[in-house]
Amino acid sequence: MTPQLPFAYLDDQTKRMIRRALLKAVALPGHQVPFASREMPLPYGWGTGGIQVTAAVLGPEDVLKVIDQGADDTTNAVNIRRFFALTTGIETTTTTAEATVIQTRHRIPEHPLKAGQIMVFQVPIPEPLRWIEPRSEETRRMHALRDYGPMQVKLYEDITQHGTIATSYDYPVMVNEHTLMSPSPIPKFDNPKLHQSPALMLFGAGREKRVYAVPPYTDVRSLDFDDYPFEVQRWPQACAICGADNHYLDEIIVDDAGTREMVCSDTDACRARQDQT
Amino acid sequence: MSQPILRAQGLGLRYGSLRAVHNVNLSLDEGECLAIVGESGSGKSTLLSLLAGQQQPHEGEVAYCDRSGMWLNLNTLDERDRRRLARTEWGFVRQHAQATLHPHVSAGGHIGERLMGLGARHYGEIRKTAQQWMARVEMDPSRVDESPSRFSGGMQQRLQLIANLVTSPRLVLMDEPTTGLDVSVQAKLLDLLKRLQEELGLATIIVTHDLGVARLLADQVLVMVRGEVVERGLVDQVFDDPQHPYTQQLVTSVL
Repeated sequence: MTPQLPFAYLDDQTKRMIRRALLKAVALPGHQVPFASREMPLPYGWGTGGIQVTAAVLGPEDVLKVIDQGADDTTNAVNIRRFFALTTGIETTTTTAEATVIQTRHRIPEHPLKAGQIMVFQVPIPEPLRWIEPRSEETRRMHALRDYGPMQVKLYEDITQHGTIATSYDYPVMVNEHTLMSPSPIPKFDNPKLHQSPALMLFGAGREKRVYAVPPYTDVRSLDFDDYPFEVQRWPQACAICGADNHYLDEIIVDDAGTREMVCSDTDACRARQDQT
Repeated sequence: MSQPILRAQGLGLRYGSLRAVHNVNLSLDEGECLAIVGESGSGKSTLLSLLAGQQQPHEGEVAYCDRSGMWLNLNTLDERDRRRLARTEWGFVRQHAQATLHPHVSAGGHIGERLMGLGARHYGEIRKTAQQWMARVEMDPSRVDESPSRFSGGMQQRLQLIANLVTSPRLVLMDEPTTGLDVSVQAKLLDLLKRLQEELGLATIIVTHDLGVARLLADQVLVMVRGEVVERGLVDQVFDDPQHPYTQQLVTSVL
């Protein structure tokens, strides 16, 4: 532990400020709460929002896992994990079941979450209505009045242009049948994991200075049409490494001849399955 | 005529020291068409936005009688109710269709927007409804999936119109709907408006500086000069026997 830095890098006042915003966010599921986002020692877009939320919720007894695109061993994940190990001295892990706090970019782990765990999402654009209405004042009013028709128009256009709802990540959801929310750029494959999850879901957007939350056991419904119901991605093949047919798969090129393989994006779930078999 | 549905009393609005609209009173019946004529800067469009509840007047008030027969004061109405009315009972057609049409949203998406805002969740039915409306205004229903940026000006205007009519409003406010279209397209659009007025029993308020448009569509006319109503009455009466010097000038300049 580096002694000259406060626990988890941020000073106590800042962490208190973020925790206050988070409490409000938990009380209003899906609602975007402004907070005084700080400069962090990494650029916007690399997880400044998530890292501030993680810093605010970590305690000395916590066990931290950090994933990027499902993997524990990518640059961003390794660096954020090491950053918190250095500034807090707490234990870190790559095993989903052992972690109490999981900071993530783009995925929710395959291993089912349990009560007491906290997911922290890095969010680039927290406002799901941004595409149709660029003015924040107006989008806030649309949320207040639950004027969500335009979001449905976006899905209508998807079907019109692609024959199916082609939105495959950052797929809009209704939280608690009340607030429209962007689930951050997770694949829609992970949307059902938000519904009635026993874990607490916290979302942090550093550049946009917003946090929001889905409390445990909250209804989260993906928007759709009666005749084009919500569906998650499916693959004809199983993972080339572990053989799982129910995980989210990434396509990777494995040699200079362009040979492709489909493998699990969640490295921890993939390893666990290999160990079993 | 039948029941009144819109009433304005002592309506006034200032832009700084300029009196944009001053002491306007009017009443509109179900199925009636009122034309507001006057030159540029006479306060026509400002009056229209006051009537639509889009701007708050400095003086006076606007009241609207909804489907259930209840009178609502538009100046004190909750924003949520105002939006609901704007989506279900009113239509607003602007001069420039492009300003209201989104280039990345298809014709069907525009027509379906109000329906989806009211909770329609069946893609096939929304698209079918859009096609039926397109056919009704002589647009090719097979172009339902196209972007409006590929439509001609007249078609864009018709698209804007049916995107408003899809929820069967009772009152449609139109701000110079035919300006900027060429003459033959204008004539077709006017025919269409006339037909829809009769078929749907729409009450309409149309702002125009074109007396021909007023004469063709409207029952009553208001003539505005510098924010004030200087003459009003039945269209034929006002245009055949104008009393106010400005109206006389207006009528002679056309004929």
